[in-house]
Amino acid sequence: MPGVDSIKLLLAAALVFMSCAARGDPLAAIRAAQSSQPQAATLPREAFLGQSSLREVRLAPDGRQVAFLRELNGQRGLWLQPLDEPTPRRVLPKVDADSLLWSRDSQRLFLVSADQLSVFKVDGQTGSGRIARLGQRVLHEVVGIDPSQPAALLVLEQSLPGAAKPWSRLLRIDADGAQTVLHSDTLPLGDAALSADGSVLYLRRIEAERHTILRLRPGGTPIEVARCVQLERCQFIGVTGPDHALWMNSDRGSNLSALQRLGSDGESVVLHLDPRQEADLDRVVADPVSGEPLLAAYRGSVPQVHGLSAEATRNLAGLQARLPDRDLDIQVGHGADAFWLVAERDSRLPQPLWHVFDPHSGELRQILENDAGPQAPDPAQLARKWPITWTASDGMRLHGFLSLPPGRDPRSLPLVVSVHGGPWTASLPGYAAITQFLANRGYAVFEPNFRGSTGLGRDYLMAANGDFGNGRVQQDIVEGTRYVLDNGIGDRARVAIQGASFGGYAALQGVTFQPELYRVAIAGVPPTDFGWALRWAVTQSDLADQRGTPLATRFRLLSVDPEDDEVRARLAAQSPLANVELLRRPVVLYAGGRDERVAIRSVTHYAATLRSLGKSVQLHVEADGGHDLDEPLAREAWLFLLEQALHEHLDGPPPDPASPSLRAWLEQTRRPIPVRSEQAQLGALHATKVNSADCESAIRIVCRSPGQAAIYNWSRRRCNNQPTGTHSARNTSAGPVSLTGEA
Amino acid sequence: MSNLFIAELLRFRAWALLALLAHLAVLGFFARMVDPLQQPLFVYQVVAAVYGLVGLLLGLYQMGGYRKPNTWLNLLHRPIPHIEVAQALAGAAMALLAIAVLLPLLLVIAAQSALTARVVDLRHWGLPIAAWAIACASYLAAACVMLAPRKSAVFPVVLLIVLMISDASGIWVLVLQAMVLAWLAALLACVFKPDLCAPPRRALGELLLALPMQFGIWMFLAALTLVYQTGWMLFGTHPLNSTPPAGGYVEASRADGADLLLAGLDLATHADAALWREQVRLSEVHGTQVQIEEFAARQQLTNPMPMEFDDDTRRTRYIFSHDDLRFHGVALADGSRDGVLGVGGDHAAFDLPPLPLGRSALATAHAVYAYDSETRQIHTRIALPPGETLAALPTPAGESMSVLSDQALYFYDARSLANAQDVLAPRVRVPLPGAIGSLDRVDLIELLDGHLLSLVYGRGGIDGPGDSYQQLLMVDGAGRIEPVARRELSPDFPLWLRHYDWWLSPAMHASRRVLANLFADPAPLRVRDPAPRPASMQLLAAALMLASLLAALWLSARQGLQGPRRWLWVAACGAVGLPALIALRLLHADRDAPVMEMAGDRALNLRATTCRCQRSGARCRSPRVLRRCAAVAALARPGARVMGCAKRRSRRRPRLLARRASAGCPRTSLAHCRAWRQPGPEVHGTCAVLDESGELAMTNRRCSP
Repeated sequence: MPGVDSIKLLLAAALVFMSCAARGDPLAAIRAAQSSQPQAATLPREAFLGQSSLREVRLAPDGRQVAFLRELNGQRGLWLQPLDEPTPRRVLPKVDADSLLWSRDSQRLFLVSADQLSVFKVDGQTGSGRIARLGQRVLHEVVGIDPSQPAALLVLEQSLPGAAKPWSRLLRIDADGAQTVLHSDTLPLGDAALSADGSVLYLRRIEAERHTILRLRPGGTPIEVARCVQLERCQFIGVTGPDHALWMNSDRGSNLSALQRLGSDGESVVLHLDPRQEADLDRVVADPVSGEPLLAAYRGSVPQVHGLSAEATRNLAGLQARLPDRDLDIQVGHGADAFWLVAERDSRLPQPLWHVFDPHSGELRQILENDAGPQAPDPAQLARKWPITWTASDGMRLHGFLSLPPGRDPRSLPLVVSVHGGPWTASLPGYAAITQFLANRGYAVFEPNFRGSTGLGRDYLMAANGDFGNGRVQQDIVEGTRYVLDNGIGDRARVAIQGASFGGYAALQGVTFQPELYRVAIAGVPPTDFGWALRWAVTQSDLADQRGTPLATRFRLLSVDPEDDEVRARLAAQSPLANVELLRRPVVLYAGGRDERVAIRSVTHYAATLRSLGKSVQLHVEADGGHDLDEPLAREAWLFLLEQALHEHLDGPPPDPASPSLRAWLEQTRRPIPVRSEQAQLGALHATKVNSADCESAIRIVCRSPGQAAIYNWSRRRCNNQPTGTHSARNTSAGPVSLTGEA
Repeated sequence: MSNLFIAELLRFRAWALLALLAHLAVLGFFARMVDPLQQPLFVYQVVAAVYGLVGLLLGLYQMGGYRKPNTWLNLLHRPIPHIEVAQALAGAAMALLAIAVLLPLLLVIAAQSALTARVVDLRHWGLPIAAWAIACASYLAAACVMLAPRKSAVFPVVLLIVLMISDASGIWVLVLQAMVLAWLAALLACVFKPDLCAPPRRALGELLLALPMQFGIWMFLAALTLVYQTGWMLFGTHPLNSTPPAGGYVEASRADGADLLLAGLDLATHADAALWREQVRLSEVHGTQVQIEEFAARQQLTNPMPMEFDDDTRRTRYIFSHDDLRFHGVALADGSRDGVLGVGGDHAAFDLPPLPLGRSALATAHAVYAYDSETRQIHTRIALPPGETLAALPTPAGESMSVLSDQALYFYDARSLANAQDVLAPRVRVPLPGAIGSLDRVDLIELLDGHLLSLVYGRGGIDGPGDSYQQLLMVDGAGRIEPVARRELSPDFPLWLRHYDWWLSPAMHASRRVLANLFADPAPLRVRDPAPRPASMQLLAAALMLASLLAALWLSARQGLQGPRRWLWVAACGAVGLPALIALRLLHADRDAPVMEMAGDRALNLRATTCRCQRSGARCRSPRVLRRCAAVAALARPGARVMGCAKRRSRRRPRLLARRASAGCPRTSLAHCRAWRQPGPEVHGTCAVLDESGELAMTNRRCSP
């Protein structure tokens, strides 16, 4: 458990950092801190596959009990933990809920699933059951608890994008299932805030390129009080005070999102901003009954929580004294004797630790043991995620994270650049299984938050300016990589790049345009032409069905209008697909056959193009897989493929042998599927790992096209500097060896 | 006549009542378990077969009893015309069938209409009539089987096959059944005659019997290919029962989709063919094929499939009514009525009866509908252009859904199909290069911008005519279609076998099609590419018809046919070919030969080959027949003609001869001969009875060689 040792380590690192920074070696402190630690044991692959069995851990408004969902044996149940009892109890063995909300009176739990709303009475009284069906062909979102009712939900519904007659409405659904339409509109609504007497005070209406905040007068007449333009954030928190001022998490008129207070006259006041001037406001913790904001949390490079009132600040200080330098996610109760529920997170904690904190006594105790399984990694064996900052060639300060295997010389480590997806998301300071897995295998991992990443302010987000080809964004990644290498992290000759979605795209860009830097790309669900992918997403992806600003508008405001011929042509010309001739490095691709974000046909087209040119490419397609790795076996396969590719191309450690199920899975997902005629003639499709003096290792897939036999070298080819991906006729008498390299 | 009718009713009254009760009990049981009016076609076919079997058994039993010689003589030896006797017997049998078949069905349908919320349409009242007609037709066919000359006895059953192959529906089925009933009734009247061995005397009767005979013989000969193919299978080299020949249609129809695309691409010269080959290996291959053989026709008696679907969420079953062209809800919980469903929010009537083909998908020939449980509405989702017929429901094809019509393959946006509720416009329309009835399968992969399609044609022609080929097309996102390659698929069966049923008799081949389509609505999904007949097959058919014509000339002369009857037969053999020739041979015996001529030359010819029996026309080559002829010749008197052959050689008196000759015949035959042993007529052989004028009065088929 990191604790006091961590503080000492941090202090030492800070001292080294200051001295080294002064000498122009800004990462020396990290090197020093990591080198001084004992080496970690190699953990089994399964240790990085575990997921928390706990979901939706929610503190009741009275602060006296906690409800949560727990997955046991593939079945999701509803559990309750009264905080004056030692252990939780399961109250419903099987639920299909995805989220939980406590009623304001703490007597009921609302269970929200994809197609229905249910209520559970905590006191065991009758009345539990389904209260509403959620429409199949409408978009709906539970926006929160109605502050005016003891037990009611607020639900926003709207027609699907593109409907002939668009409509939307704000519903109140009480615990008995009674539905009240609070407001109807012809434009989509994004948010709503009610007064304590139940009248709708504020609405956020989504118009073409802007969101309009409406103040409803007593008669229901809406008056525009503010606008959120250019993708400004305007997230309602609540209404407080006699003047019914609206609290928002917003970046209107500023770079960073902050806690703002919007008066009925449209004037807004910033009440709290990241003291480091780095990160957007992530979350505001409000009193569950009065709605008064109590805490503000930021998750930039360094997670922070700040008190918004004197009492909250005092209580938070007491908590932080008990859990120093931790990433805390806090829920508060209402009332003098209410507890706080605290989730302790860290880059070395695979699952959060749950604590109950008594603000009055300062007592902190852990609750809710996680079922992480016997192979859950020991946090002491995991790598710390260091925030780093570098200056891009155009002078912009960029952020990222560095994770190093403890106890190793950072200069000699193979380096893996792990690029986040999106691109409008970010690498966060918390636990990342792939990062920890790679660090545990002895790789330095660099996670750049290139410009365009979120959570670091509007300027940071908009700085990409749509240059997602082989341009500014890719330069950020490349320059970040060089920065890390130049500062003594990683072996310059052993650098790989990996990522999923946009990260996969960046990985393909890396090996296509910077082959001298990156030796191999491992790309999951990658777009191969970002402009084409955006245009496809507007009509085909599930993102097009999400509530809020229409996807095409969002893209246009982010300077990547897919209908703009110039943008499209530029992104196409700078895409990995259009530049396959330049590719000299091996590529490992992983895709989902039912991917709703990236068209599978774009991946297979790219792979086919590479194959037709004799390039080295390995493709795995999970036939029923989506954009995410949902299945444990799929996650393990990704780790295996990653480890195997890095082993072969960066001389990393070999992967542990694949289990029979994993081996079968890999065989099943491998493309091309051997055609029957070939199977009949060859007996089976062989993959062999060839060892020779010149060729250290290469995976060869034995294929046969009609009329001739050939061996396609699908993996790296470092034999006597032969160009990668060429194929030559060979005798196909090699013995059958599995794809995994295991006989 | 009425007495005979009543006597016949009384004779079977117990059986009829028993059948009535049993039938009612079975129908009542099934009506409790399922909706008997909403069963798939197969159930109706099985039930119809049972009714037909009942009619057949009744006809065989009834006429089998009467056709025994003495019973037959007693039956006909009444002071009423034979036709009235036939009418009495057949009328009684049909009345009995009405009690056993028609009445229970009417009762059950009436009960369902009055006591339940289930749908009973006007069309359903035609079901009992159709069932009764099938039973009656089967009865008449069986009666004709028992009474027709032995060699043509089985062919009246062919008329029942006409009912089975017909594609008519609704009221036209009843019309067709009435026509078959009329035909069989007329045929029964023609064969209801004293001499059961003789062909119908009148030309009409001969025509009524000869036509089904020719059709039946053609079907029998055509079915002989099964024997041939079974033997082929035993050798293990049959294309369908072993590794199919390379490059053939059978191989293509069974191939993996990727293999098929690659095989087609091997012939492609397109610039992107190499890339597509790789893409085929990497991509998921989607496919579709004709899924719907026929749609429900308005007011048809049966259903291609149950015309109902369940809304599991609301616990409601919706049953389609042909009367108002809407679905009627029945609550599954208590069987009460639960609303009416039409198209759209105002529940308009469907234009055609829709088939419930999925959990919430309905299809007519021109449109696909979706049922939305939430709103309890049915929405039109896909509407085909006028004149096109749906062949396959929306099938996943990557990001698109493919829909097949008889003229084109459409691609629709899969997400819009799932999310929206309005009528979708297709993204791309690909006209089919061949007829839908010949389309076997469609395989496709998604390209970055479009699809690569493989269409295999040759369905229905595995061992039949027609060209088989594979067509590869590339369709881009804008709908531009580019032919990529065409691969001809080699026939898997020898030429003569593929065209066998045609060259056997082109006229009968066409007749079958005409009979199947008689009164039937056009079936666009069965339209096939025209099957070119190779010249060799046309020559073979012509040669066979010519040979039949020449053989008919010779045979008809030998049989003693004269005048228009002979020339009609000759013409029929020329037009129809072998089936007509065989029918001629079976229907007519060789010309009678005066025995006296033989007898007069007995010393010389009895052991030679000149003896010929008058009835059978058989030459007396075998010692056994020779003996018969000798005996007859010995007994014949001048001026009398021999109509049969004696059992053995004998110089005894005719009566004694008759008794002895009947040793191998049933006792009734002997009694019959005795009964007719009158001073006037001569008895020659077991069965031949001649009056003084030499006219045949009675005979027994069994004793004819």
